[in-house]
Amino acid sequence: MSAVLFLLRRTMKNELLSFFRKRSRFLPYLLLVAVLLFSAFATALDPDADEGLFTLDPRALHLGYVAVQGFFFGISMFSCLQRNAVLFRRSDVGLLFVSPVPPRAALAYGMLRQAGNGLAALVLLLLYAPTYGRMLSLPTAHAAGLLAGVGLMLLVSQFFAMFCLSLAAGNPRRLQLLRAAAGACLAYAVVVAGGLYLRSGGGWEGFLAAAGSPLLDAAPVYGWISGAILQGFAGNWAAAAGYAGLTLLCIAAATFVFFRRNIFFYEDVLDGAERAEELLAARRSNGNLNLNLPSSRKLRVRGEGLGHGRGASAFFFKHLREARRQSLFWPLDAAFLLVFAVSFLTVLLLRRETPDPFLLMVVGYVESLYMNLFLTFTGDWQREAQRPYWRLVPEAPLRKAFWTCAHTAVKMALQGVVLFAVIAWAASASPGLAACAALAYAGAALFFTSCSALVHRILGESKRGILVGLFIVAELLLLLPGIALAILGYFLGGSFLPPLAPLFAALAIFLWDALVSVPLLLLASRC
Amino acid sequence: MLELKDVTKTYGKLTANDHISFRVSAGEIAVLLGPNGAGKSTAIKCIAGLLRFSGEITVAGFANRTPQARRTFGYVPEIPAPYDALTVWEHMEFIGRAYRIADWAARAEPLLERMELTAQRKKLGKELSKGMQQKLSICCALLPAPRVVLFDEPLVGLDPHAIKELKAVILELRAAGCAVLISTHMLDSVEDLWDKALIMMDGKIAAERTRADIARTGEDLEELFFSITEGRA
Repeated sequence: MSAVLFLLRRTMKNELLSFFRKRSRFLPYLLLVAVLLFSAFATALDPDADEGLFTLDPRALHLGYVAVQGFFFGISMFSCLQRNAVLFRRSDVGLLFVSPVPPRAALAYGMLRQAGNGLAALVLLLLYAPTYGRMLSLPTAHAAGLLAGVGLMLLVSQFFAMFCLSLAAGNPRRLQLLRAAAGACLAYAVVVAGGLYLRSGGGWEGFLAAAGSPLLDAAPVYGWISGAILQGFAGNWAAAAGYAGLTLLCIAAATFVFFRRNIFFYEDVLDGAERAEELLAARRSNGNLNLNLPSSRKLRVRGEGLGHGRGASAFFFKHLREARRQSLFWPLDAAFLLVFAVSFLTVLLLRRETPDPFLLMVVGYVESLYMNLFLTFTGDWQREAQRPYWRLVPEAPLRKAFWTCAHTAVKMALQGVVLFAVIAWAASASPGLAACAALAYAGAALFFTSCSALVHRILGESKRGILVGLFIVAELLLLLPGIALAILGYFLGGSFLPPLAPLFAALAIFLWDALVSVPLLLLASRC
Repeated sequence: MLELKDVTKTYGKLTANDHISFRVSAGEIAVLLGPNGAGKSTAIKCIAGLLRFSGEITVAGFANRTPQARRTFGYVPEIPAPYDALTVWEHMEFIGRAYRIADWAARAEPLLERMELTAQRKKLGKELSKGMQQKLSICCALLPAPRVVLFDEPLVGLDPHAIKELKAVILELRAAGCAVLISTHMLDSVEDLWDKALIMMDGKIAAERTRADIARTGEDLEELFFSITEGRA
């Protein structure tokens, strides 16, 4: 145990020292903390802070929170049960696992390190609690409790996933069974909520009746943790203590079995450790958020050949083939699901306050645009630009740049179609309005892809956080004229043909984004 | 010293190690030869206690996963992976603590000097070049003075001086009575080292020869290797 404690202590100390020494890493975080602190103080000093931006029914909050916890529970369990446990790194395999340190001490080390990493992220999240609380008309302490609950949930679910993985002991049938059990835990909440909704006769009241049901808290692990927190907020201390006790009892039982049976888990985390190493390397080389890293899944070759493409366009069809091989639903990646969830929820929550479909579509569009500012779209570009053959292909640089980025842009444009079809349904907007939003989103797809390509070209593999921050500001400034043109298009065009006002606005945005993308791509190809 | 009896390792339907058995005695250097995908690294990982397997592996008479066995062997992985946030010296301290070595500092000094890492002792793992990481990995494996040492492709990424030093270290380990197992697909890189050659193909030990066998029969090991791996045997 002394070796493990030494490892933890020294690793944390050296990480902290190295973090404070590197200004390029430290300054963006300092800036972020300053912004969050400012926001926290501004909220605290605001005399109208108690009013909130919009009042959320506690029953809707209950369902939303259980859904968020269930989402994280599902991600943790399924990724871990597919041998992607991220508690350990390759260095642990080569140095810790082969040493006489007992496996249980190695596991404790992995959990403590993960908890330490989670704690740092949680502190940042908690600074956001006052603003978050104000948005949802919640006391700051409650908002902080909800955020802390998410952090706790992530840690507990990783522990359970490790436990399940070790119980399976590499047996594919047992793994399948455990995956099914995890799926059943998730399905429980969906079935209960759906059943109660239908039994209550549907509609908004039916939805609220289902959303507030305490039966949802009975969902294993994620439901219990949500129940412990939300029932505590509601003053139902007995129920809160019951759920907290149930969670602790399960953790204790799993720990007992884990240590009693001396379960062997090293093989199960080998793949995960290697995957974690790849992710770390990719994060180091990307320097910013990229949710579209290549998957570790085995690919199945269903069809062969690119089919189309000549010269530079061969890159596009190559990317298309690669993407289809990754997944049948290739446009719907993790980054899109995040953008989709946030935009959709925002529209859903605002619908009660602002029933105007056009306004809701605009909110959905702006929300998705804002989130895309923090994502990167260099997946295809980056993969090609790293390879010497990209430069050797005898085609004009702009053509190559265009076709290399085309698949990413097309993918994002397709995502726009799905996103705004669903948002239009939620906002009760017409299909025409959805098409206009999707058109404007296609323009944004071109813009973001070319911008990301240029940023990657200039900053290369060693992107620095603070410089990326500056590029985001530059992106925002470049987007502003398009938005101004859209407003102009909406009012000017609307004065001649009122029903087509949204189309004029969308066209203005699309044309501006396409126009700006050309020089950006040109620069990216010539840099 | 190191003994494998009927070891089988499967990944789903793929049999990576198929009933392999061999023995490496004290003061012997065995090389595990074979093309990529032959099952060499899997065998090394099974011995290191990182994988589940059927069969029996003993290190100095102890089952390979027991703490007694782990105290007895050193493992140099194929891809060096030091802790990012530990310095070179702290790696030595960690190994010293993990293996409960009382005089770890006194042992670490000459090891680092030999591997030319003394000047880098305050550098973090992530600040080292790949070659230096490999050297550090070797230092970590040798610090507990193991009686059995497993090397997985140890010469990849090392500079000529480090290769020369490592070869000298391996020969010293043999002279000190250690059992050394080296996995490699580059026969010529270990030509002057081995006492026993184990040629793996499709997860099986396809041939086992000692240097004495080769000297007696006049067989060419390289020719034997290619005849097996190219399907001519």
